Amino acid sequence: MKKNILLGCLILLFASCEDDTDDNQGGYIPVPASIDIPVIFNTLLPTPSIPPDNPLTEEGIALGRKLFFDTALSADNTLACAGCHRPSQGFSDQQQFSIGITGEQGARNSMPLVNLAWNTTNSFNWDGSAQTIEQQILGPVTNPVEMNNTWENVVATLSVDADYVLEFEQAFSTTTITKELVTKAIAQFIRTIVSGDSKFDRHLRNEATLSPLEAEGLAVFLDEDRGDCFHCHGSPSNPLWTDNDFHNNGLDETFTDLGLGQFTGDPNQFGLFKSGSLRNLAYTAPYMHDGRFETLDDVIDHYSEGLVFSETIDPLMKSVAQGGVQLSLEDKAALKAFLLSLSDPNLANNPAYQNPN
Amino acid sequence: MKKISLLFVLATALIACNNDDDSGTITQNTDVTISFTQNFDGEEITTSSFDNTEYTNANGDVMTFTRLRYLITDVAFTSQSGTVVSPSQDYLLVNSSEGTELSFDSTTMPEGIYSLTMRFGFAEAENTSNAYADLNAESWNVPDPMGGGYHYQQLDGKFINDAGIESPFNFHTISAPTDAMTENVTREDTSIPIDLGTITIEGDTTTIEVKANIAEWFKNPNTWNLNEFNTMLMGNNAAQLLMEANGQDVFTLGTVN
Repeated sequence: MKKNILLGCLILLFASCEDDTDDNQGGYIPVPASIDIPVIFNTLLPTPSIPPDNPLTEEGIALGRKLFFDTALSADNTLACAGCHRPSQGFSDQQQFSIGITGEQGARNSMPLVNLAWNTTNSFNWDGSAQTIEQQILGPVTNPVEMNNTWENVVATLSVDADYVLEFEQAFSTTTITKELVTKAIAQFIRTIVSGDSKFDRHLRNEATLSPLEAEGLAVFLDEDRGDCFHCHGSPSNPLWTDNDFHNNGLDETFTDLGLGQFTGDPNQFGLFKSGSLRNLAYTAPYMHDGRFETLDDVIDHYSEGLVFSETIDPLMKSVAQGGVQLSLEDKAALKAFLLSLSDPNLANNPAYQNPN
Repeated sequence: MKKISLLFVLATALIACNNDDDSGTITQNTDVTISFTQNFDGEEITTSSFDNTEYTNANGDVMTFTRLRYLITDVAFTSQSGTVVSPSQDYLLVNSSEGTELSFDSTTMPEGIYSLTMRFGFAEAENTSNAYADLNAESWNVPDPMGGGYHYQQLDGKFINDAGIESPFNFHTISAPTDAMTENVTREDTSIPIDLGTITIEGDTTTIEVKANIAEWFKNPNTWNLNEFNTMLMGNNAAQLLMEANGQDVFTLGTVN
């Protein structure tokens, strides 16, 4: 045993002696960067999830931001990522279904892109079909009802742009642009999109006081006998305001969109969709995976008296037999006031998230 | 950089040379893993069992499970001389329905005979709101108006009620609150100490199976009637105390090899 450890030490010794020869072989070395983490997140949540093969750098984030706002990713140069994920709208949009370059609609509501660096579940999209942000970015570029482009065309377009070639070299130490590097850069930018300065965040920081109505709404939210929202949508202890998990929340008796089950093929997962974060609801209407609810009142009414049974309904929808949790008008008003206190008015105007082009 | 690496190597070598005990005899270390399995009165529960397999509890209620997660803490191997060894992980949130987090990270410890104890849920002193970032991100918290701290278990599923209708149940165990959802809420520690008896640790590796018999939650000493207690149980002090009583025999020692 001791011999093995000593042998290991000698190997380490040789390895350490060779370490310095690879350093700085020339070329631009990108500057490491980090996420600006809100104090509440720092206190309550694990450190952000950054993949080892795509560390944040200043150059990578800047390049990703430029690409995020660049219509060159679409086939006819009219639609950027930001077209459906607008900073002013909680990085979502106000369409029920986003409109692609051909004028066709998609089938899902645009998901807000905030605080994704804390999604450690390795599942993105409403249906969990992407395991990383990088992978998620691949889809919209080629989707016929979104950007309707090819990655070959995207790479060719970017590769003849001298500015991009230089920026890719600075971010990734190569002048060869690939779709993988495009997704890496955009993913870096997306991971820096942080929303953590709502009135409720300020309340947790003792910088603001909830109104009596908002405070009562929080009580409704946390009460198992009333809203019971916390099992799926976080709490003051989980400022992501989502469990990042999948549930059938009683929207339909039968499914036209199978959600998670479409991806996994498991009938027990038909009609399950990711719990959306409750942050920035003031800016992200309409709601649900298919944008069926135009207002927050509609959403609250759904959970109060609109639930319908289906085979895969989540047991947490415990009052389905009564159609919902049967909130009083007063409880509904309070819950709405509380939910709106989770909206972050500074997100839209954060200079780090604006179009640099 | 090279100097630091060399220093590290020398320190590692010195530690390696100091591995023998004071008597001069070589102490064999064993990598010990504790793994959790679930069953229903001996019928193995796997990820494919969820939402598929029907179980009948002691009361005759037919049910399926959708989600099962539970928290194990305070693992301690106590040697015959009184030395205590614990895993580097303070706790494990077992996710039976996802088939993840089923084992503690392995613990290296000297061969010998140990008593093995652990706890279902957090003991009162450790059950502090907001204290565990990873559990916060899992939404494992208990809201402060219900006493705060963290869940011990979430067992969600559906059963056929007395009217013949499929209905949900949420068998969530927490520190039993009194006056939940009021300013006067207090709580009572209903975490469950688990004594798994004596275990012999030997060889290069030892894997210890801890079996959770989910049927026990529904039968002993209280025959659980899901028609009576099904949802909204967190704030129900009486239900929590019944759960605590029924949980005493859920966990037993399985195979050790």
